[in-house]
Amino acid sequence: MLLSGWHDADAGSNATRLPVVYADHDDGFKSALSRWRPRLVRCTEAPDHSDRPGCQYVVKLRYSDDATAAAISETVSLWLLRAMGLQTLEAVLVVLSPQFAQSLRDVGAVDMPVLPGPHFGTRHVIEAVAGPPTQFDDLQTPSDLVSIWAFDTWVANMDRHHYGNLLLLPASNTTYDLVACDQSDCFGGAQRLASGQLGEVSRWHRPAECSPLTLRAVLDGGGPTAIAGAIERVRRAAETIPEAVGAVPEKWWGHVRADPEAIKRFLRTRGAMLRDVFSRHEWGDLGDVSNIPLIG
Amino acid sequence: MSATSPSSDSRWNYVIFDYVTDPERGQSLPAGVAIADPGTGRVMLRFPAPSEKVRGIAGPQARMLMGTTREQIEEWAATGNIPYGDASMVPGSSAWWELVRDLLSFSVRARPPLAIDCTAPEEDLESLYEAVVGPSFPASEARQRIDSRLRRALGDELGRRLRPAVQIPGYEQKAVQVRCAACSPSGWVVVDAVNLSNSSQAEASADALASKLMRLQRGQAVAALFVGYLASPGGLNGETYLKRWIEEQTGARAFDTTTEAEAFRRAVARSLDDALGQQTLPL
Repeated sequence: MLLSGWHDADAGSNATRLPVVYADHDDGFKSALSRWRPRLVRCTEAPDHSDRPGCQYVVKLRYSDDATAAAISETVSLWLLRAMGLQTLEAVLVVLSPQFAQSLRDVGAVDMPVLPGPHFGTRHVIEAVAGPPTQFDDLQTPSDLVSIWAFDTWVANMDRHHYGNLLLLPASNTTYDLVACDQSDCFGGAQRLASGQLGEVSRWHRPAECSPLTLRAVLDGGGPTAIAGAIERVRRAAETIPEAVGAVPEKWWGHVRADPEAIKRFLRTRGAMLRDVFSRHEWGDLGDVSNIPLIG
Repeated sequence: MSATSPSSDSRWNYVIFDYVTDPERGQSLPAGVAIADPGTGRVMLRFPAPSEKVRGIAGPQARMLMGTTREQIEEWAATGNIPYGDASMVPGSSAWWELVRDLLSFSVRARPPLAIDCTAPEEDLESLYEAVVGPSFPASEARQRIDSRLRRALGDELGRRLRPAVQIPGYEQKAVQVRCAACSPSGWVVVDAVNLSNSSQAEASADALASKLMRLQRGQAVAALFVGYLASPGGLNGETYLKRWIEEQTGARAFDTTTEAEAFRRAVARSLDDALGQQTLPL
């Protein structure tokens, strides 16, 4: 399908790429506070919008190399989170036509040129509360905190503790599911990813920031046993690294200095050292769970 | 002045919170309110309690989302730490509310702050909540809310001079129960009350009270009739016509239990003094 220079194949390999939707009209800021200033964009599945009204998506527009790096980070992370069995938002590639991209600029919605083509987006959810959670008992599955912590350590996510980077979605009448919902700053941050400084980050030997609730989830889950369980989920997810990286639209790589192989190396390197990272920090030698295979 | 009364330099504002009921059509309903004093950084919130029903906002998950949002805002106000804020940002200030509005981008949203002439923060918060959200309370709770406001408005001394829950012969000599009354040789001095602040129930409540007091008047045993009413702040709910309706139909004198409490007390006390001297007659 051709749309003003846009090819479906540009969205990534057919096997793993995200579903594609087409930007129809802009509904304004989702949040003017966060660095990427995501927008609400109503999108249709048909390129000609014949299936209006479509659905609303939260879109992080690519208007710089850093923003493209953030989109890569989101796409790879989304795949890996799902492979860990964690909940994620419904993600898509939102294709902006050249006309739409220009219109955003013309009406002053953005102050920098936005690239036509695919952008990372997630389905807009309403029935949610922005995290981080404050009450342990509010959580349907507190152990997800530990898994997300392990994930963040694995991918060197910088800002999970920021407001809104976890979502709370009602799981029952009294509890919430945790959803990791902003993975723009993995790989040591979008700037490092854009400038190809992955080697340095891959050697970081500290876990991601641990919130008091995560600490409680670790202790409730048996301390090292809880961490070992989370590392095991990482190990299983690591088996899908090629697919995760393959989900990134090909053209995005042209805007960052890191290449797909560097990302794969990064993930394997950090995955292999994950047990050691946690062992060095407070959790001893992870005791009798040392039989968990290293990620290779 | 009570401990919670605003100081002379208080400059309160209020904010209405909406719950998004239909995001596709951009529809929402008022679900909660807050009043805040940026002079002290005090922020008070009111969302539906478990026993209260709000038409159009059904379901325990909606309540959970509102409850969590309320907890978050209370924590931001109490700690002074609000995401994306800085230390100079005072809870309850326009800038602080603007940030709250930006932060709330899911099912609970905040409107811009508006001015309010706050005289009694706790009472005004409740009145505002009833006026804006219009919740339904369980019958016993609704009675208690009116009774406690009436007691507070009348004060202890009048509380002693008036008997609670008195039955007085009315139309066709059928007993009519009023909230409190004192018997005098010239007839009963009667005080009743009504909640006119609730946007969804004020009209029915006013009609019910007017009808009841008209039955009472037909019994020829009333010397003076007073009504204390719970008003929305600044008449936000547009209930003034209901107050006038009650007065015109029943001959009662009606007083706002918050802003006219002193005048209310004086009027009832004078009426009792005139009718009884300083002592009430035994029932």
